[in-house]
Amino acid sequence: MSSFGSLNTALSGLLTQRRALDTIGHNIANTATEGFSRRRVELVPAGQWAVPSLYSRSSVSGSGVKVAGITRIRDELLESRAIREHGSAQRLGVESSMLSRIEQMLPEPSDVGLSVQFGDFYAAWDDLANDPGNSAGRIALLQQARTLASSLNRVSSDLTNLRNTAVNEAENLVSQVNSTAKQIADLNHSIAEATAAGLDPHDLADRRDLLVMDLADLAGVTVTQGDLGTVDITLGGSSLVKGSRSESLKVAETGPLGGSLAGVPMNTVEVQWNIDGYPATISGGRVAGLLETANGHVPRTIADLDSVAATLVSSVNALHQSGQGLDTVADVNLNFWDPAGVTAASLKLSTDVDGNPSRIAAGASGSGALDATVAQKIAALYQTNGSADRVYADMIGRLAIETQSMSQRSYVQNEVTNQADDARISVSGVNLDEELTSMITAQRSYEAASRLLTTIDQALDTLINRTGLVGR
Amino acid sequence: MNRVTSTTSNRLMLADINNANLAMIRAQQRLSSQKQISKASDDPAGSLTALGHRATLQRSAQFQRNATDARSWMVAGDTALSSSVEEITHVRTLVIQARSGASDPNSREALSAEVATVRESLLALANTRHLNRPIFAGTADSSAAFDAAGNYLGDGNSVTRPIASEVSVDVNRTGTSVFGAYDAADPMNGNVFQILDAIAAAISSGDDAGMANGIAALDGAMDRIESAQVQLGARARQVDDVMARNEIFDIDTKQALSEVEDIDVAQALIDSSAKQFSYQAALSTAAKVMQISLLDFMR
Repeated sequence: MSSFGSLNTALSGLLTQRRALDTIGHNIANTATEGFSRRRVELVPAGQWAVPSLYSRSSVSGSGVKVAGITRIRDELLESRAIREHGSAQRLGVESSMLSRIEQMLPEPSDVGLSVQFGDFYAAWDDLANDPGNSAGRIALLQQARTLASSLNRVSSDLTNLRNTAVNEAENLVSQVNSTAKQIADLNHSIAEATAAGLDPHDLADRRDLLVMDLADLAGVTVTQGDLGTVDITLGGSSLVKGSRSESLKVAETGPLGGSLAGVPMNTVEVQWNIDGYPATISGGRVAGLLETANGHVPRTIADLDSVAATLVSSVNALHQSGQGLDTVADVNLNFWDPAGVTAASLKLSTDVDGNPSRIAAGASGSGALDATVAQKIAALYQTNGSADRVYADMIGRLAIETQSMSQRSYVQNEVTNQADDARISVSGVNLDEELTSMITAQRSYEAASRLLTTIDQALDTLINRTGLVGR
Repeated sequence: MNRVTSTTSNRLMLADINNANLAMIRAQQRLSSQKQISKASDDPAGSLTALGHRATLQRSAQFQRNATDARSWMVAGDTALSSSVEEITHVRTLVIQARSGASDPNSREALSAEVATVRESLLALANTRHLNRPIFAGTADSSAAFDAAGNYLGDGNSVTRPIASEVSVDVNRTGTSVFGAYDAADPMNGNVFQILDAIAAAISSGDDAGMANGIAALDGAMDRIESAQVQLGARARQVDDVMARNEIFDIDTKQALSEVEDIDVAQALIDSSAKQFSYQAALSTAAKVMQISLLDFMR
């Protein structure tokens, strides 16, 4: 070993510890930065010959320390689990909030909901029956019927509006998916170039992984690791981002809804690949929640409401046709509800009775004009099996159970997602105590290295300035 | 978790504070609304029960309105029938008076005229209206049950009121069943107005046999009216019973509804205080723990 070799050893300690302090500073500064993964300086001892040979050897145990690289600490397994859970959580969250909004449109049990209006409607028939000759009761019944019809109309149109909002929202989110996928592809490109050049593009990777998590929230993607630090992203098995290339998606309406929802006049909404128009399988993320709302929850509720309206029309009209109005000859075989309006959106009074209260068929055909047995029979429909109000109550029950179970699933999934996030952040996050400890270690190492420098300097001083002075 | 980072501890702390806050707000909401079920998904089964109870109460209120209406029909009918009995008794007295002493044509005319007056008031009673509708005319839309000649203008249908589930009561008696059917051939066998006409004629002409037949016919008419009154009375009793039962049923249903929908106030108060306490505890713990760091001990 040369006389001055130890100076280099001390110097390597000084430089390396400075580098370590820089990294600690970076970590501390980014304690609260979202998506930041802590860095660690990997130190290796320097100086030993890699391949000892006969003549080139040294008795030195080493020549200091050097930085092997800076590692970005994260657990890919935990990250990919979090990505999966995020997709499910967002989907269930959207479905749960949409179902609550549907539930708010049908406020039950309350003093203002449709069920009370059903009760008032049937009660109006009994009030008419108590005084069939009086036009006040007949006008009151028509008004009550109009209120009921307009409430059903309004809920139906509110539901349609909610669906339109969901579809618009899905369109916005899909364009966000497209731009995010594009940004990820661009970042992949930069990362690949930097990695190939031997750099550590950790800040770029942090930004990219944050975008990947956004994409998981939006569309529930699957992530695999690619070459040169890049990531590949697939959606239902098809590639959304592959290296520096990304595909794009669009929202499109296809044919009418099928199955049990065939009667609802709405088209199926789906997400398609822009390149070939094939449907994209989106099973997670907010987009999936919105699609399920547009294709499932809203049309199902409308179909349920339609069957309430259809039951109301058929049950009341059947009795009404058997009766007679105040004019026992002319006012026979009339409809109360418009028989064409058998959906919640189109329910309305028939032209037979609308504006003609005297034509309401309260009496049985063939009896006196003041007979009211038909009105009493219609009033008695209330609360019987299969009556419109029972069909409505069943629907409320189904909706309540669906909303409750969705809200519970969403809650549980949120907990699971939080745990997954906690687990991954516990690996990649910054612990200040740990950083401060490392800081003290680095500081002490630095101090010790500079002390070593001083010591060697003094030793050399002894050798150079105080040696060979005998007899001077 | 093997490592606790600043972000982790912040996240956990924040999640706990939020949960405690949410639980507190829910408890306070229950307390302020006094309802356990504010929306159907809070308790789907309970909501359906509540919907059923509410509908039952609404239907029951309608039954009570129907029963009240039935009562007023019956009261109107009963009053008319009582007065009719009095009028017929009065005619009977007049006939007996005519048979026993009034041989004088002038007094007979006076008695006959009085019978005719009674006939008018009886006709008015038979045309008694309730809610502007003649109560003895069945379901016919006529202005009166009998015309001046004593012809029945109504029909033979019952007027009914549903007063409870599956319970319907007839609230009327038809004119023919109360006052008799018109008989063109034999007035003494006809309705009460024909009988009174015949009696007036018999008194006027001093026809003793006719007057004797008249008394017998009057007794028959009175029997009919009194039995109609008894029937109305029995039905009125039934309506009263059902109304009382409906009221008890209402109270039971309201109780059941309250048990499903309403909160136990004491329980809710304690719950709310407990939730508030745990929220405060979460806040104060967070405030203390989050300040501690190695920095406090470094110089």
